[in-house]
Amino acid sequence: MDTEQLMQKYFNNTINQKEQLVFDDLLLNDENFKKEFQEFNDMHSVIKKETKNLLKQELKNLDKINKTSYFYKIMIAASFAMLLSVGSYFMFTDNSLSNDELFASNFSPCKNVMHPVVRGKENLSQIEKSFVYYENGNYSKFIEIIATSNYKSLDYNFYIANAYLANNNPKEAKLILEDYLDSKAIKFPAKAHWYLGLVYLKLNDLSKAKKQFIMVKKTGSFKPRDVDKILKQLEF
Amino acid sequence: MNKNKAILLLKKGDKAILKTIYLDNKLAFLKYAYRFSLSEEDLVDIYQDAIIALYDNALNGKLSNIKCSLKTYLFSIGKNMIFEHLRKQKKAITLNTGVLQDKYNEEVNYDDSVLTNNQISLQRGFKKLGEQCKKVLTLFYYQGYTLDEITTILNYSKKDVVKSQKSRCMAKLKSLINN
Repeated sequence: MDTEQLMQKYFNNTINQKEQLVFDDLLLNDENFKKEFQEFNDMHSVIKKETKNLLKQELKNLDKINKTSYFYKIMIAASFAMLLSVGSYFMFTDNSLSNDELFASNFSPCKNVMHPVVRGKENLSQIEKSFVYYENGNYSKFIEIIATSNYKSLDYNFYIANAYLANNNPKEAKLILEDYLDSKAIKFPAKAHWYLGLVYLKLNDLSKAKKQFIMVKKTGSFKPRDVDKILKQLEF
Repeated sequence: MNKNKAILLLKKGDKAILKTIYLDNKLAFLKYAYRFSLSEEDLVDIYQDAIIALYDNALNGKLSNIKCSLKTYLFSIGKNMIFEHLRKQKKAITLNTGVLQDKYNEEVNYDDSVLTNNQISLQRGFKKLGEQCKKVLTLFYYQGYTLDEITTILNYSKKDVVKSQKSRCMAKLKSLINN
């Protein structure tokens, strides 16, 4: 193992006891290693700081999408709870989410079960490579690569729809999911109804969204509690 | 999504799951935290820092063995940060709110260290690097990916190309600091 790998393991807390002994010995007795470690440590600290700054900005932007003040909601909800003197406080706050918030709190791209990425594997096929991008959240690249992979199964379309939805392109996701659900012998019908429901939610078509969530219940047992919850929230 | 799956995704640096966790728990955190008599702005700021600390801990493998739920862990970080904030403002922590007896008392470590002078100048240089350099260096130095893995993630043809790209980026960074 080279010294940089050893340092990576040290910083990721994946170093084992034997490697730690080697690491400690090098740090104590090898001037070059000590210098390399200092440089690695500086880079790690700086990039960590930069990543934090970037994330902070992304979270602030996410909040801008959810324009209504959470605090305001809490105060209003609390006032209603006091006025009504019933236990509707939590129900009210849960149901007062906007369509965007409801979407954001329910959407996460479907887990990759087609080609789980095995770290360290070499000679990846075009499809496997595309799923590395999918798992790393680079959905544009996923779409770009998988489109040229000559895939045969329709179930890949389900993931492409997920990628479009994650990229804030619900219209494209809608076309693909509708087409997918019209097809025969598909692996993920219940999931497809769930994501199509979220697409309609994003497009503010609540009656179609409800129909899709009801279809999830009819088609399978995907996220039963979430489906009930979202249907309840849409009734409000 | 269960805890282990979420931790695994966070460990891979999945920001989508981080944002889901952020939105899912924000309202509950603010409901919990407004008893500390801080402004909404301060509480949101602290909550964002707690989420970032959660992400950092996931990348550093510190979440692998936690016994509590992610929510309890996240709220424990947030609570610690609120206490720290109150201490800095020299405000007394009100003891009659029941917060000392609540369940958000998990032992949590998070990095709040500040950069040294050398690191600050390194940071200035890093900001000036191109996006591709930033990506390669972040994957390598912060996320802990091997050169082989970076080759795949960034769709390079060979590992050697990544290796020389990384060296070029480091050289560029050093020249930016020295000029």
